Amino acid sequence: MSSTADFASTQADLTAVPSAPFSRRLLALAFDLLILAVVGVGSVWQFGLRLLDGYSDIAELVLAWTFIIAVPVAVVTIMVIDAVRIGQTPGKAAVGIRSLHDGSQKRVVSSFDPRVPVPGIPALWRDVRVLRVAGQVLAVVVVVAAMRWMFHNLIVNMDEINLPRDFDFLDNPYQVAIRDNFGFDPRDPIWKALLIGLQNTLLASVVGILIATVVGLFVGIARLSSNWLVAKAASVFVETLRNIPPLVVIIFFGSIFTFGPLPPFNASSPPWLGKFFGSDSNYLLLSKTSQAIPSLASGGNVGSFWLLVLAAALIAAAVWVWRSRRNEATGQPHHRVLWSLGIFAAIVFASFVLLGGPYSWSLPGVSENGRRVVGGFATNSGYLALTIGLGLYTASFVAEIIRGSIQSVPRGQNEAAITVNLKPGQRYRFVILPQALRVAVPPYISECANLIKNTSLGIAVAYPDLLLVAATAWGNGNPAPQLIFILAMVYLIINLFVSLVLNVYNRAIQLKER
Amino acid sequence: MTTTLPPSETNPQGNPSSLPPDMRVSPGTWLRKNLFKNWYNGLITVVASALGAILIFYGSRFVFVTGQWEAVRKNLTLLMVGTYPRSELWRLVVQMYLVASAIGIAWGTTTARSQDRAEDTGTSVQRPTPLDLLRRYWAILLLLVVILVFTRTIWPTLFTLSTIAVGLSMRAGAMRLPRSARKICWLFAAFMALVSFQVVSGTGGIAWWWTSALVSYVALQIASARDLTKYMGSQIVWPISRRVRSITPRDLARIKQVAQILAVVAAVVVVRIAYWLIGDTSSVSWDNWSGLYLTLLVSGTAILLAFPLSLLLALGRRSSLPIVRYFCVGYIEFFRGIPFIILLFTASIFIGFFLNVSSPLSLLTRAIIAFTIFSSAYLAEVVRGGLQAVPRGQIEAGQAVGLQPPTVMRLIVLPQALRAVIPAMVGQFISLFKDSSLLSIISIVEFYRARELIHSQQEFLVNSIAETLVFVAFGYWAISYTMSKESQRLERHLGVGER
Repeated sequence: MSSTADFASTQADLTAVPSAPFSRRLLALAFDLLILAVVGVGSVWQFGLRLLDGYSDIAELVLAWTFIIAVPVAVVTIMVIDAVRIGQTPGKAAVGIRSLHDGSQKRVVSSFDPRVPVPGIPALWRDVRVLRVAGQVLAVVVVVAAMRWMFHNLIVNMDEINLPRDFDFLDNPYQVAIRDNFGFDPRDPIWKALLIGLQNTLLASVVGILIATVVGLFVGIARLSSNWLVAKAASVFVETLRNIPPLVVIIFFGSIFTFGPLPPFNASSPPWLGKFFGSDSNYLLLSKTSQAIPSLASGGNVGSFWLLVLAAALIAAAVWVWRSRRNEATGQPHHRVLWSLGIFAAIVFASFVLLGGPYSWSLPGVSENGRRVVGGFATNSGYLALTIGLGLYTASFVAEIIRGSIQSVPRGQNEAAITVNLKPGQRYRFVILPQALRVAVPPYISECANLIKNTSLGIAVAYPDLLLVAATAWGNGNPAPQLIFILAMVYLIINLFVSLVLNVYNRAIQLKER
Repeated sequence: MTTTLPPSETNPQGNPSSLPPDMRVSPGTWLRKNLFKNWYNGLITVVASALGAILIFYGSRFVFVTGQWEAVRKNLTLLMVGTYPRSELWRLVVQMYLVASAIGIAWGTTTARSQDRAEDTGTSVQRPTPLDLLRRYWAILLLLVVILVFTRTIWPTLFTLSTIAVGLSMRAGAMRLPRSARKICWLFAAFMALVSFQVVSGTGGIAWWWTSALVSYVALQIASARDLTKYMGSQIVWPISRRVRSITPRDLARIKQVAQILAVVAAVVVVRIAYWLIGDTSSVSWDNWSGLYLTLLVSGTAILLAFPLSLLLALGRRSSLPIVRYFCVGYIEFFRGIPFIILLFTASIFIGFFLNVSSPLSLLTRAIIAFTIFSSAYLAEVVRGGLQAVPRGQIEAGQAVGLQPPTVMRLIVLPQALRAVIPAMVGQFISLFKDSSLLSIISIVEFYRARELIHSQQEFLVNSIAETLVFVAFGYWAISYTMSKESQRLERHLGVGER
């Protein structure tokens, strides 16, 4: 623009640097006074006097007196310092002539032209060190004031509708039963219900992550398959699932149970039972609401069995170390996985047989009143819909991460592996996957964190996760703000834990560069 | 068929041995290479094609034969616009025409600009063929066709076709305008889009106020466009005052000031008079916006409102002031760490407790506040990625020529950073679009909730569950799929990561 050209014709006259005139000092002081008075009086009034008028605890009293004493002291101090400093500040630094459009010339006085070095100390409000401190103090004041204002409103509004402001309500009875949790009584306290909710959330997260990882790994590798049909099918899977909201995916699986061909589960309509061929023992129980598979039931000697399993693990570890040392000493192949796994399995199997079977199969069946599952590992349609839906939805993202990470390994690495005559399996295991993993793990873990947060969608399929338990509680008249605070903190802690794991892992596998 | 090249300087005889080998493969070779490489690949192929055939058979039987699509057909309006008052539907029709014109103008202007650039640099620009466009937008076109198939009368089809016609003619018109009109075209498109929202909300709604402010701003921008003021000066102002002389910059500035004031007044007055003329005194509060329309609108509004906030957060996170940085990190990590649905419950239950407003905010307003807070945290991380991608030397170069830090940020860092994050922002928009389905949990009637409303009708309590779900899922899928493909194209087009 034209101002650049104008400054080209400015002749800086650096010799004319008079000290600040009296009028300028007065102006600066007045400016100071105005700003500080507005900020100072405002904060003394808002945080001091008004707070002193209606403080509720000792912290607010301390806050109030801090503002009443500290702010005026700060105002006076700043003004004194400023007055002294302005006296030392040169007034006009650059004096020059600027030509204007119409050919006339104008005298330019500027002390802040960055091209002209200004000797002496800058004014307080131009001193970067002061500005930095002032900016941060201002940020604290603004944020604290906003938060205080909001929480003050919250407290006033909660008092208005007689909501309790403490966490004592957690001891009140929860009043409703939790789906498929027969150990929980409706008279049990709310905190117990929340713990069960947390347990359910974690259960859904772990199994969801498992499904997402296995399916994602499989589909991700399938997308890179040389078989055109497999690659195409994998990409259809990915492109379909990741473009549909997880809520719809979960509801889809939920609807399969609720509206599908499965029988309802009540006295008149028994669930569908899958029986082993030619016997009367069930391996599968399916219905609209409950499903079950066989599980292990503990008998006697369980304690000694687990002790022996621990011993087997220790022996297997020792074998591992021995094989590794032997490999280093002699150069023989170590086969440590085979060796230690074999020994571990042998000991565990032997102890299982010798202890007379500490665990036996527990097969699912229907209770006498025909309303409950007895035995086996029982679960409900909400859980299945949530874990399968979320697992597959997240699997589509994991598949993309796997594919991207494998493709990010430079081609030369693969070619180099071919030239040293590695087999395809070995190429993947020793060359490509170790490098791909380094790229894949950070986004993979953040997908896992997303899945954990998404388990809160269990509310849509009536799966009693943490959110549904809490929502039921506030639906029964318990205070929602505290419950939501607890929820937010729990999810935050889980997520911070996940990102901690991510950071530790990331540091461990980072390329060790010079 | 073999290709024979004419003799050239390097290959005077057209010697076939020096020609590149024929890379085309016969179908048999292709099959052998891609499907039946060895015995287990052949097995996989056979099993996979059998499974695929079964899936396709049952899928198409469901879609064309067994599916009871009556539920969708009867409730198509509910799915599209939800509970929007039926007597006011004309507003949406007018809005669609205005939006189509705005999109047409914006599209035409971008195309024309890339042609200008190609002309300047002496290169040629590749225009997409209709086949290219079909390949790019097939999913969303399919959705459009499916919706039109479900309609009962001819009017929706005619309306859609005429909307497309309006958009295309506006595009053609915008492309024929001279170069100097580019900026005005952009502003005019924005103006039309904003006015369209005024049409939808009527004069009483809350949207009237903020769109009025934006309309005035855009009118101001139009008025201050240099060419327009020049044109006004030479064609209108001077002939009237009968003073023949060239326009000085000072005159131009004065005309600009007058034009700006006039533009704001005119924008408000014209829109107001237009409403008066068509006798529109009613209003439709935005709480009535619902269905697929609301889904698109909420995600768009959230990303527009969240963008400035996320810019501040991202800058704060990279600030050298530790306290500011900690605040921003705290905000971002907190809202990224909790599930969105918790924030939505906060919004639906007690966000009004925090803000001491005299009249309670409507549910949708509260949900949009929650949506904005949530998306700003995610968007801030996207923007931060862009800021980090700007090389340090760029900032140092700015400092070296004596620019102030805010100027360096505004003129050097942000243009590069924001350009780099456009694809990631489209990705963020897709995830917001999908997340908007959660609004159904706090009973806001968006696309998914509209489907649930169908099944609260006596007729469809347990019928057509699969049909409506498939339709809704297809609606979400078609829109996000098109956007994700567009963002990938944009990424290639902008050359992100290549410089």
